[in-house]
Amino acid sequence: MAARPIFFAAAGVACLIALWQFGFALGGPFVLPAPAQTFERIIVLGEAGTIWQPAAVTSAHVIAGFGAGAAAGILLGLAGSALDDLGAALEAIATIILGVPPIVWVVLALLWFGPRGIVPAFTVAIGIAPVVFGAMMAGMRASRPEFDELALAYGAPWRQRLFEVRLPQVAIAVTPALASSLGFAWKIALMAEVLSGGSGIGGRIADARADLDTVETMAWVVIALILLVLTDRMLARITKAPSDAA
Amino acid sequence: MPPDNPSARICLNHIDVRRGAEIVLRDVAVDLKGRGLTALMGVSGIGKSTLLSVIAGLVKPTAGTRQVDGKVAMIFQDARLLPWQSALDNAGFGLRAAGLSTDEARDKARLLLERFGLRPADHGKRPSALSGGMRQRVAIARALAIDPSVLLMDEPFTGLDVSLRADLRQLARAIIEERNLTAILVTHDPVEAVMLCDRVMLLAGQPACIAADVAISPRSGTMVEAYRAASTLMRRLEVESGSIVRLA
Repeated sequence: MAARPIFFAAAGVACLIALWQFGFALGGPFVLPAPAQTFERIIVLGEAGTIWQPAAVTSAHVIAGFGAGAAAGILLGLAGSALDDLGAALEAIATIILGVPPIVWVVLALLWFGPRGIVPAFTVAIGIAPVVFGAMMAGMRASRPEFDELALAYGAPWRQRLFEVRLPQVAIAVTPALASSLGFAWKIALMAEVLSGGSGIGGRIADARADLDTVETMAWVVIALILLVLTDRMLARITKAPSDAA
Repeated sequence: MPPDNPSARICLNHIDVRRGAEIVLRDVAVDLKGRGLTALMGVSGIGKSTLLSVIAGLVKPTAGTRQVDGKVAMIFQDARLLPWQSALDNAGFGLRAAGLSTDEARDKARLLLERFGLRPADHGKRPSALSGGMRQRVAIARALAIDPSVLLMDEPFTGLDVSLRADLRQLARAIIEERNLTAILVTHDPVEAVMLCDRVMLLAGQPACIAADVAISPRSGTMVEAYRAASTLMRRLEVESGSIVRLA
């Protein structure tokens, strides 16, 4: 990233922290703890070594759920775009699943699987699979037929057609869906952990809330946000979108 | 003059092409053998690109027989480069399709790109970073990389500025002679036809068929001479087809 965008990104974060400080000045520490207090608590948690295990558990939930949901969405999107009737059926199912609020999936998953580790990952997977599926279908439909004609004219084998012609076009539609789904995955995972307890960051937020410890609650929220930004940057690097200008 | 390419032949017999209920081409017959560049002319939408696609095997005729001996390469009007690949990898597309590894394809494509005036610094650029002329040169390199004996060109010089068009025309003519190619050029421009081609076929009528087929000699004189020759060509096409020729 160039120096200028980094400067303005840092300025944006500084403004947000200033607003947070203003909120603290208005509402007091019980409503919103001061940023300094929160960052001090993060340091204390870090020094005590209590950040890494919950962070690892929540990251595992996010990665497992995101991986499973994205893989299911991509594979079903490929199948649905290859077979029109299957695509129509899957689109109807995806629309229905998308209409169900994530909180309902958390409740259902708690009933189906009990308060175990699978609940957050399952909720993440079922929340993002229809989003990725929809993007995959849109990407396959938006593929430019002139590139298929080019591949045909040069007798390109199926692997070359798929990897050099089709998938790069689909990536243009799917990459933004994956990026937004990753942010969504963190939100769903935290919500599921808060509701189901457990040893992830959501579980720690639930414990801190029960103790009315707003400083610790905010500390875990900030830790979750840092992890979200880190994984988002990593995904952006991996799935760097190709240019579409010809 | 180089010897004719014995392996190249394009032979279409009684070709019909329908698009839904509409008959696009009817009873089209073409027989081209050996080295030479044939212009395929006709009014917009008459079916010139469809005929080229039939020859390339991209469109299946509804009636008639198609026989094309030799490897076919096609250059499209819009260059048609993959936007997510470098110029080098675009030029090697047909080579990878033919089974060469990425490195082998790059080695061969690199030599062709340099031959066609792309500096090594431009080889790694995406098409969006290249000028229109450079893109078309990459498209020509991609077509010639597979060592074709038949070259099909669908208005490849349209939309380029005058000097660039002249450069690429010269390049195309030189390549066809050097490699003994059997080539077809779709064009609306009779001046381009008389400057480059050995033969001109006119597609006309509703549904379209080959209405005129005349042999000419490509000339490299002044533009005034080329315009005169183009005027003569138009008269010959009108006499042979028995109708007023419109090309726009």
